[in-house]
Order: sequence, then C-alpha cells, then structure tokens
Amino acid sequence: MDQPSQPLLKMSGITKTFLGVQALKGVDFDLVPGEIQCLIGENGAGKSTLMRVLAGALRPDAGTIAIGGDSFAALDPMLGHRVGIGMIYQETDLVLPLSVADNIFLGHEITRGGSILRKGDMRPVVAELMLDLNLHFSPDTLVRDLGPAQRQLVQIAKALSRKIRILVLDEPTAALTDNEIGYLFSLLQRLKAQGIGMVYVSHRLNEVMEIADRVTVMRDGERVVTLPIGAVTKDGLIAAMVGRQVDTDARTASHRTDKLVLSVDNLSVRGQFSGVSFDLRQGEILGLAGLVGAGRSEVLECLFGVTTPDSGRITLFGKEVRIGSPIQAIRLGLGLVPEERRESGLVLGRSVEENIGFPILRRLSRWLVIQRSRLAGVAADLIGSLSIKTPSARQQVATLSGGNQQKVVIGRWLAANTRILLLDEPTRGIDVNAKFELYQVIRGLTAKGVSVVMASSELPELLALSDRILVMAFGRTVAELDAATTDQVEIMRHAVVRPQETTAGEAA
Amino acid sequence: MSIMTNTLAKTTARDARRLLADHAILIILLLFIVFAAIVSKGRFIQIGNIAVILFQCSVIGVLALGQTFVMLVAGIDLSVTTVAILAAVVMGAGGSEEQQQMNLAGILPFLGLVPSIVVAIVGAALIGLVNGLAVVTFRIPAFISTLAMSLALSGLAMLMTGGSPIHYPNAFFSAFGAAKLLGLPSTVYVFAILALACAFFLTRSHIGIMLYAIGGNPRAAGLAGIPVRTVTVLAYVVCSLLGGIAGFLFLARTGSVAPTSGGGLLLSTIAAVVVGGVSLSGGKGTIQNAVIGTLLLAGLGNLMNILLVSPHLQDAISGLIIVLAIMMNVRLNPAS
Repeated sequence: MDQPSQPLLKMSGITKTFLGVQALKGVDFDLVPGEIQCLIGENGAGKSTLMRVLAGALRPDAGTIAIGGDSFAALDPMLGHRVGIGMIYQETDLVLPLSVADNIFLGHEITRGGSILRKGDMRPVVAELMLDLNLHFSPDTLVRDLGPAQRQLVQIAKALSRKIRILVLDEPTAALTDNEIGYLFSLLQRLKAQGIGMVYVSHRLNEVMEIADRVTVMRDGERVVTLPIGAVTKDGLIAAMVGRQVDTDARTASHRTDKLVLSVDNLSVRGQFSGVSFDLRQGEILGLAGLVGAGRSEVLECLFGVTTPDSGRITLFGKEVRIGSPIQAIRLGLGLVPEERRESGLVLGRSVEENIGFPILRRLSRWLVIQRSRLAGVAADLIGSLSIKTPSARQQVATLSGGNQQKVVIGRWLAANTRILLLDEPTRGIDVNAKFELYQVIRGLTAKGVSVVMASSELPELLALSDRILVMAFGRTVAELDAATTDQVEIMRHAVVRPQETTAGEAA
Repeated sequence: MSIMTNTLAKTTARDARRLLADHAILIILLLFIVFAAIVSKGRFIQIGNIAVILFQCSVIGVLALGQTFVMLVAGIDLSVTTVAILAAVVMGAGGSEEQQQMNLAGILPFLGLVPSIVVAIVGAALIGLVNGLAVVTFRIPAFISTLAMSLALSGLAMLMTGGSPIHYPNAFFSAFGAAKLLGLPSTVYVFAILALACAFFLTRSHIGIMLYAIGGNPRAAGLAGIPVRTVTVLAYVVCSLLGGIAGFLFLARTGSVAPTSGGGLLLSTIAAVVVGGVSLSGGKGTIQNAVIGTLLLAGLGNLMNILLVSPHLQDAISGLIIVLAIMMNVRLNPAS
C-alpha cells in the first residue's frame, strides 16, 4: 500500500471559489483500488467541498479528475454513476415513503420499454444485495419505518446496486451505535477485498485509526499531508488539522468583571444535548468550541427560547427564569445572532432600517403608527457606530455584503438594549477584513458591559476573543479551558473524543 | 474607477428595474384605459361608465383588500367570499321581519337591523380567528382549512334561511346602495375609505411592517422577536372582517342575496390580487396594486360588455390576461 502503482482516482489541482472565498486551493487527491483512505480536517477545511466535486454536485474552477484511464474537467451525477462513483451522505438521500427495493433501484430501474417497471426482475437482485449486506428485513419495507442505522445500510446497498469502483462515505457513523459501527466496518473490509476504493470522511480519530489505510488531512482548502496509517499518531493528526499558527498577539484586552449574569445548570434538551452547565460574567466572552453536531447551536437556541429544556435551570441576573419564546428571551435581555444569516437572521427583502428595528417596533410606535423618524434615528446611530456600509437606511438588506449584513443583525440587538448576546458562527462566510471589524464590534460591546456567548468553528477566533472556552462533544460539555493558556491542539483533543459517560444511543 | 462606474451603472439599472416592477401594473392600467377609450369610441371613459365600473368592483375590491393581508403572510383565504355571503344572509334575514316570514325552515330569528349587522360583522371576525388559529396552532395548510371553512359556512347559510333566497331585506340596505354623493354610489366611498385605511395600516403601523417581515422570512422574523403567530392570526381576522363588510356592500348593491350567491366572486378576488402583483409566496405586494388589479379586471369585463363580446369568450380572455399578468410579475420579481 506504500507505493500505489495504479491509482483508481486522481484529482489534481482542484480549485473552487465561492463568492470570493477560496474553498479549495489546488487540491491533489488520489485513491488506489482496495484502499480505505480517511479524509479528516476541521469544519470548513474543504473536505465536503472536495467530495461534492467528486460526486459531480460541484463544478471545480480548475483542475482535473482522472478515473481509470479517463480524465475530466468536471463530473456530473450521471457521469459519476457511469464511471462507478457511489456516494453515501451523512443525511440520507433516501425517499422515505418508498420501499427499500424502490429506493435501491431509484434512477436505474429495470424496465420494459423504458417505462414499465419490471418488479419481478428487480426483486431477486435486491434480495441478493440485502442478503450480502446481512439485512434481515423485507425489500418491501418502507424506508420511513427503518431506524437510522438500517437506512445507512440501505444507502450502501443502493450504492452497491450500481457497478461501483469508488465509494465515498461522509460521516457514515454519525447516527450509529457502537455495535452498528462494528458491523459497518466489517462490511467495508469486505468491499475492500473486492477492490473497491473508499474515501471515508470523518471527525472521529478513533475510527480513523481503526479503519484507514492512509489518512489525508485538509486545512483551509488545502491538502496538508497524506500518510499511511502506520506513520501517524492521534496527536500528530490533531496538530496537522489545526496547524501551528496560533496568533497570540491577536488576543485583545478583556472586559470581564466578577458580576455573575447568567448561570446555566445541568440544561438538557432530549436528542440535542444534556447536562450542560456554565456561568457567564458581565463583560465576559465565553467561547463555545466543538465539531459540527456537538450541540453548540442547540444550546444557544434553547437559551433564546426556541426550544424548551427538558431539565435543568437557567438563572439570569440572579433570578431563575423559564424562557418559553424568543420574545420572552428578548424581554429578559438576550439576543441571538443565528448561524444562518440569510435563512434565519434577516428578512432579505426588507430594509436595513426595518431589520434593525424588528425587536423594538412596538416600542417605536404610538398607538399603531410607527414613528418612522425615531426608527430612522435608531438606524442612523447604529449605521454610524458599527460603520455599516450601506447607501442608505432604506436600502434592501439583501444588497449588503455578508459582513455588513451581520452587523445589521448585531445592531438589532444593540437597539434592543441586549445584555447577553448569543453569537452562532458570527463570522461564517465573511471576508477577512470584515471579520476583524466584527471582532472589534464584539469586543466593544463587552466594554459596555454586554456579555457574550460565542459558538465558533474558527479556533483562532475563539482563542483571540474569548475569556474562557467551553468545549462540547456529542451533546455534552467536555472541557472548560482558559483561553489565555490553552491552544488549538488542546481544544481539538477534547472536541474529537466521545465522552466516556455517554452511551452511543443517548448521543444520537 | 471603471469598477465604480460599472457598479453605478448596475445600481441604476437595478433601480430602473425596481421602479418598473413596482409600477408595472399601474402603467398597464393606464395603457389599458387609453386602449379601452379608443376601441369603445370614448364610451368607456364617460363618467357614467366609470361610476358603473367602480360600483361593480366595490365588493370584489373590499374582498381583495382582505385577501392581500392573508397573502402577505404567505397564506390564502378561500372562505372569505362565503363569509361575505353568510354575513349578507344574516343581515338580510335577521334584519327584516318581512323576510322572516319567507324563511319558514330557517333557524335564524329576527334580530333587528342594527343587531343583525353587528352579529354579521363580529361573526365574520370570529370566523377569521378560527381560520387563523387553525393555520397557526394546528398547522393545517391555509388552502385546506379555509376551503373546509368555506364548505361549512355555505351549509350554515342554507340552514339560516332554510334555503330561501333573501328578496326582502330591510329597506335600509337598498337605500344605502342607491345613495350617491357627487355622482358616485356610497359603496364606492366605503371601498375607497377601507382601501386607504388598509394602505395606511400596512405601510405606517408596526403591525404592517411585521406582516411583511413574516411573509418575507417567518423564521428570521420570529428570531427577531416578532410575534409571528399572533400577527398571522390577525391577518386572517382582518381578512374575514373585511369579508363581513363586503357582505354588507353586496346586500346594499344588489338588494338581494341567496345562500348560493357569489359563485364567481372568489376567483375574481384572487385574480385581482394576483394580477396586482401580490405574491402567493408571501411578503410582497401593496394595497395600491391590489386595488389596481381589481380595477383592471373590472374595467376589462366592462369593456368586453360594451363591445358585446360573448360571455364565454369573456371568461377565456380574462383567464388569458390573468396568466399574462402573473408571468409578468414572475419576470419582474425574480425570487432573490
């Protein structure tokens, strides 16, 4: 395996840019027959983008993809099927109301005259596949009635029903229990024996160490290194994932005081997170670190009243509170800047002014009539103090850049006199300069006594801004670190490990 | 420098496009009036004819105002015309002793003129409350829940009079319908005042801003502290309330009503709103344009009557115009 002679797949110089952000910067990637190659990296490192290029879902800006003897500038899903690429996504792409058999043959049904299904001919093929995969349920079972693990296996059956040479698995174990994972692995070993090359995308280093032949680490849209599994250690992989360029100068002065403003005790939402506890002090920035799916957004949404906790206590400014809705949360002095700015943060078709004014519309109106001049005054103040770049306060917010849009969402909470600001990935999809402006805005808020809880996947950002960092993994808080003394490696080491006390079923 | 000029040119082009999109329907109405005046040899624009058009469209116009509220929050109210008919039945049968004697099998007692009007209008608002709660609380698609409501209300209207049509409502209604000021019938004034009130409400009240926000992005609106459910229910209440008022105008205009009246009203109402550019997916549209849409369709019907176009062909032409208008709106307002 050390010196693969005849690659099955060779991607060279793959480049892809989204809205001015380089997601892939000339990535090379190759796969040999009968190999399981793990692809790891932090959130946003470019793994998914690279795999979507391979699946034909994205067209690269530059680079070539060679499969067998053929070379392509880009693939499309049909072509991908023809050259033998099978994809298994984290979120299943099965059609829930259809049966297992129908799903397996979806898109390449055996037909008579091109339109009449020949169920009789498909059935034995499905039965054989399912027997092969050790699936003991009827092919007529509706996918809706299957559990997550079974659905995952049906997806594999679906991929195998076409003649595939390359199989891509994106976080296939996210929904599986330990037993099921063991079963999946033995299945992968059998596929390997048949000469199928597999790309296994995962965050879970334990699994990587167990199953990989080679490991490729990506970071910031580049391939950092590809090594045979014998040559790596877990710590080595973590170091490669996060890089070493922690910018300690970027740390800014803290405005943390001793006054306790928020205390969360043993908070749980079934199926999302459990036993989350932390304190927040006035002027403090508490960072929330963790991988995608660790439960950070869910904790913030629960604090903001979007979901109701099943157990646990929230104490705000010394008083125990129940937060049943965002409106209540706002009244109590909380504000949420959600992760998806365009989907959840803004009403894109409305003006900057209105988007800023949403939480205080009632306050700005006398009887029913909105006092436009007061709204304009509030908006003008914030456009000035946050230096939001917009032609006017009446401008449609959709036309602003990402950074300025985000400032509008933050400005909204300043207008509402928010005391505790909950930020969820505040700088995602924002260019570098705008990021630094946002950092200053956030830091400026704490100087005025606002406290911040900030979930971010960008570790340098967390390290530079936070006073303390809470690490979450699998729906639990696993570590609380002092941002001044910790580093990216330590954070990642906590984030990638499944907590001991959690059983697999609970975390899923 | 060249980038700046480029951006500037782009902005100007976009503004021009916006302006055109915002006022397209007004431009079309003006062009239509010119066209109609020419092909009818001036008859279309005689004061008397204009008054007839306005008189004819006052009921549909008020219904269109209500429908605009609901469509702004990405809903639809298929029961609003039935609400109008039911309200007219309650006012007509409950407000007239003479009519009571005709409704042998009807369950509605004599209420008196003013009480029957109050019952009809308040009842209409309550129906809106039920519609709104069904959509918000039980998450039944508005299309289904209001259709079911419409069926139930039709049945209720039949029960009230025992199926008898109402030919002898209180004389007040006909008198109101016949009253004129400056050559225009009173119902036109009611429509105009309601339209102004609705336009003012949508653009100047904080609830108006909330309606647009909810229609544009309900999730973001909720996370920004807007009471999405309450305001959505309110839209249905306003719609039904206006339906009740439209029922009053219907009775005043025609002097009679049957539980089975108003068959074509619903489609005309929705067509008027959609031709006016109010988006079925919510968040976009204005009262002005809904009114213009109403006027345009009423004017088109009137012109075809003047030109003695056969009624069957009239329907086909109206259908074609509606499709063209929607295509134009989709073109000018691409989903962002």
